[in-house]
Amino acid sequence: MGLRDRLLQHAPPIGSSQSYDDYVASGGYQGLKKALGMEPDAVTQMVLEAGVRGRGGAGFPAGRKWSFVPKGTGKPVYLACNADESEPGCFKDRQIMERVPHLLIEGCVAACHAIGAQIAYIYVRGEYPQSIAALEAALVEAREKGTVGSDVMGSGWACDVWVHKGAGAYICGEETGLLSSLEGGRGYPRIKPPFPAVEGLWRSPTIINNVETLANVPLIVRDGVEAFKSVGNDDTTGTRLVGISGHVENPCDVEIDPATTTIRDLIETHAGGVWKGRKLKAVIPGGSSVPVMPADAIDVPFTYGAVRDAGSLAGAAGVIVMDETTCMVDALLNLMQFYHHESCGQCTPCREGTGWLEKLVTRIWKGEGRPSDIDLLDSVADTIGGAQNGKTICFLADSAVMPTKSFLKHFRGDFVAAVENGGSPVWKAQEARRAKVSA
Amino acid sequence: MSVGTGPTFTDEQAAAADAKASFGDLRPRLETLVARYPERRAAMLPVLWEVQTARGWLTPTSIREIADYLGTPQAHVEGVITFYTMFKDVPVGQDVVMVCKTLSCRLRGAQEVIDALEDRYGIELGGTTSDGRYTIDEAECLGLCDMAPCMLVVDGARHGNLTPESAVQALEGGR
Amino acid sequence: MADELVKLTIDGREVEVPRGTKVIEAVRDMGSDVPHYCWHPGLTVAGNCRICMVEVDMGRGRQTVISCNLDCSPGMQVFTQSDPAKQARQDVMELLLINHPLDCPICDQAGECKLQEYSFEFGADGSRFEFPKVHKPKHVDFSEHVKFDAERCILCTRCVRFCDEIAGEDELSIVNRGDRNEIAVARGGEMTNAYQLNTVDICPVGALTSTDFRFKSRVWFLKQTRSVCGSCSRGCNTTVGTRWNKVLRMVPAENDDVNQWWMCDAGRLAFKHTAADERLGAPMVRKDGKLVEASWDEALSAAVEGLEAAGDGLFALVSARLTNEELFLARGILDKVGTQHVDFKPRTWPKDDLLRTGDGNPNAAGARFFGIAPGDGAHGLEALAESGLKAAFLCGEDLDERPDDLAALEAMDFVLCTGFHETETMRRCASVVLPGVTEFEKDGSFTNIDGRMQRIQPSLSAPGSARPDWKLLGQLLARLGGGEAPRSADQVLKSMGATHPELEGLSLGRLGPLGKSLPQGESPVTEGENTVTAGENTVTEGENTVTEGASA
Repeated sequence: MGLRDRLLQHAPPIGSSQSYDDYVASGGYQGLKKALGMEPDAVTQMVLEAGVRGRGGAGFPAGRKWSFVPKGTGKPVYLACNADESEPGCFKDRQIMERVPHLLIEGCVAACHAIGAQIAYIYVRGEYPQSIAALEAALVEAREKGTVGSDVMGSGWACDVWVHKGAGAYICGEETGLLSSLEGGRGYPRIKPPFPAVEGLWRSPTIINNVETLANVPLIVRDGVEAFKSVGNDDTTGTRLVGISGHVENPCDVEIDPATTTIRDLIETHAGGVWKGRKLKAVIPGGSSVPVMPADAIDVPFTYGAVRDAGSLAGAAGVIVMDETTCMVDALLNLMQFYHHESCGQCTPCREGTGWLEKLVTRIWKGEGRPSDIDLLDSVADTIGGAQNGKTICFLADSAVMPTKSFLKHFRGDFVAAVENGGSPVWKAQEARRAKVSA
Repeated sequence: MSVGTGPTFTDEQAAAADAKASFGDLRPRLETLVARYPERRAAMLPVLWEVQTARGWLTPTSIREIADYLGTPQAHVEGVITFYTMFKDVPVGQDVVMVCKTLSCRLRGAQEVIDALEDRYGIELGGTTSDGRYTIDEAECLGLCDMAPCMLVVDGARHGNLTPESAVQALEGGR
Repeated sequence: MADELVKLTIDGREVEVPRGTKVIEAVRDMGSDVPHYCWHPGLTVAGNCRICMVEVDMGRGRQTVISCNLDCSPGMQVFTQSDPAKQARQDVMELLLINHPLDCPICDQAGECKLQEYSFEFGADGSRFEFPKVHKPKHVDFSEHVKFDAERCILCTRCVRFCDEIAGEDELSIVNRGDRNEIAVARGGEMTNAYQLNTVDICPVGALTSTDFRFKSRVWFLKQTRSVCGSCSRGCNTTVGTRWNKVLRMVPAENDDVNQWWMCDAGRLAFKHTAADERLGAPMVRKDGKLVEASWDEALSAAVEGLEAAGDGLFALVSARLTNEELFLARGILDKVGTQHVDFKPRTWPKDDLLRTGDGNPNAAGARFFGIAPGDGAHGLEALAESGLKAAFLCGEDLDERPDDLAALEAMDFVLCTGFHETETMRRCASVVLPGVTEFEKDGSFTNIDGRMQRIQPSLSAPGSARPDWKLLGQLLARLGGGEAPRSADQVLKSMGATHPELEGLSLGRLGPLGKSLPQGESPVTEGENTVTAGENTVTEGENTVTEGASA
């Protein structure tokens, strides 16, 4: 089957959005129709067997997540679609929302049927007005055609889907931060337990799934588990949408077979290779929070397991490519500014520590670093990192720590050079420019 | 998230913004938003967006009205507004432009784009052009890495593959 | 569910706790302590400070986890003192201090600051942080009572949760984001809840301070005395802080059955009367129409003479702000005199769902118990003006705000007043004034609205020759032929059993620090309501897993 009939197979190019009619003509809403004829648990079972793992970054099996919804609580169940695609380097979900919005809507409704929900909220980041517009337009069509609303496809079952617009906060992509925001609050991640599947939105069971995860659901139901698993391998079933950006000739988003596509393929085949004929220096494969990989580590297929074994994470599939001219101190500083800026400030280590990391990297970048700063940076990273060891409520601090530690591990030389030679070349160039302007 | 970082608003500015649309006129639209959620307070972000769009920014009066409307303490509304970078509780330009500075854009010349815009308008990021047309904000990753470097007019057009020249042109074209 | 017990091991000791108990609570109940900032037993769990780290093994190896949000589960092994747990706490300590101003020398919290305490206990001896600190607003008035310093704040949100969950006024919030986060009131607004000073008490650092107490004294110089608030019939337990024979502050003392950890602002600030300029320091008798100082002997003789002469024509207004011991003695005096015209003055106080009862008499229950009420056909306070009675005993009470009654008193032949400050009633009507003391200057007990007898203790010495009311009443009673004058309030309480069997065997000491509810049916009160509505103490049932960061 290859990549036929996968997520973006029938998608129009960027800038246009597939209409309801075109979507139906390409086999759309057949999965939902079939799901509505099945017992909800049977739908969950299919998703479970398909082995589709969360495409938002953590890779948790979606079917297992759904199975955590307790039965018979008497409370409503909610679906929250995580479309707060904010991880630097990631832009894949945007492709789905803008180009094939009905695919996501169908996925939401089918998932609602499976988990016993009747309302889905699609939380889209405020920086995606085009995605919001495409989804809103598609929802108007879907309501008209009855694939969303009081009588979904004539089944007598009601299901609503609403778009909820974010307003500029990375942390709302953390699943419980998203819930806090959706409830009208600051996007603070929540302590667990309770887990959202038990107590999420308004203390009711809530499932949070990424856009791409949900977009796979109609295909799984329509074409069957085996067809879905015909792409990928046991570790990573189905296709993956990958965004490739940075120092490549052709930054783009592609849908790939993760089992047969290596990171090198992504860069060289899909993105036209490293730009300007330069050599590769480093790759961040899964969005900016995952460990950086040196150039010689990229001959691995883009499955969760293979990238993990190579020392990083496939994460949310945002591949950021850096060429040989890149100063890694400058790149790390950029990321530390990001995580410091985006820390919600709720828990101590992240609130205090992300700023500390930024200040330390800044000092090195500006040529004020001491030799001991490099180890200090590594040590401070250890001090704040470790959500799995209870350090923090969510993984934001680790998202700053993983780049820090991996940059130091693989590119220590850049940091030593900045300390010894009066700062990052980028900083020096900036200073030279400023001097020229003011002269 | 502009507490203490933007210009101080005056009573006149607040009054002018409040006069743009009466809260009462907004109510029918707000009601449809509130109806989407089992709890009124959940309509916070949608309501803030509506009011901000209608009035340009979230004036002190607006904030009190929203708090009343949602049955939420004013302190909480302010807590929410100041958490999100896209909500403005100080006057801003007619359009807010978000210029991405994060890694994928930085690797492709975001700094030069930012420098060009600062030079052209004689402001630093976060500032408003002297004619009040644009507020130009620094943005964290806009998710437009395939068109880096990029910028977004809030609720409007996105501009990608920018050069210092094309960035300035994109905004000049909108004047 | 509550009676279901789970067995676990904490630091090698096997313990059994009710299901739903958090590990931090189980450790506390063992008499130990896991360091904590954001956790408070009366508030919901926030889990944001991250210092209450313990190591735990639930059969899958050890991992560190916060203990405030961890349910005790069967077979769980908890290690509060392991190296990883200690290291994790030290890490948090270091981070909490990097942007903290470290202005302990000028901070009111010094001496009772959890930052100081834990830093001393297990912090590092230096900081690796060498950058300018984040600056935030200081000296912010949250209200006339509460001042805020955002730089000292550790964002534990205890104050935010208190206002929302306990005071019922969700008036604090956090504004901004990340390390610029600040606690804030609404812009242009202020805290208005009637319990706001509790936020100062529960603030673990010096971020919230009491405007009233600021810079009055280093706390370690305060003499701390356990007592009971005299502002209403709740009887909130207090710790009174005094220095230079002045009350400098009053804070709630924990009593789960009465006020938990809280008290109202008006109650805690109601100590200004102790220092009033108009305090009485000596007895007075009226001579040639003027009150002049007299010796105790002379004043007591005049009082006894007046009382005896009045007999059953005496109107007696006995304050329900007096202690049980004093009420008992007053009752004895009235019995000796033989009057039935007895009453106490009602006193209003705000009423709410939390603590404030609406009854501004701290010992109305005691007054009822000792029969401070008009006998059959006798005149009560409301009938005073028309009673035609010619003598009155205002025992710790005044009628300053009742002009008709004042006029009636003025027309009487004999008026005996006791009290701790000079009142209009005394100036205009008293024949004899005996100086008593405030509730801060004597021993005794109050019976609260729920029938709990609680001990008050002196934290100040009285001015001049003023005597505790139990003492002067005892002397009056002795002179009226009621035997030997008591030498202590405790002796009075111990003697009550003879006439009030339900009080048999009681002493001030036996009331204990938390007071004593007399057995049902023997309770000195007949009316009352149940204890305070506490804030939700949410206990989340469910999976006993410690993985907190798990996400999609």
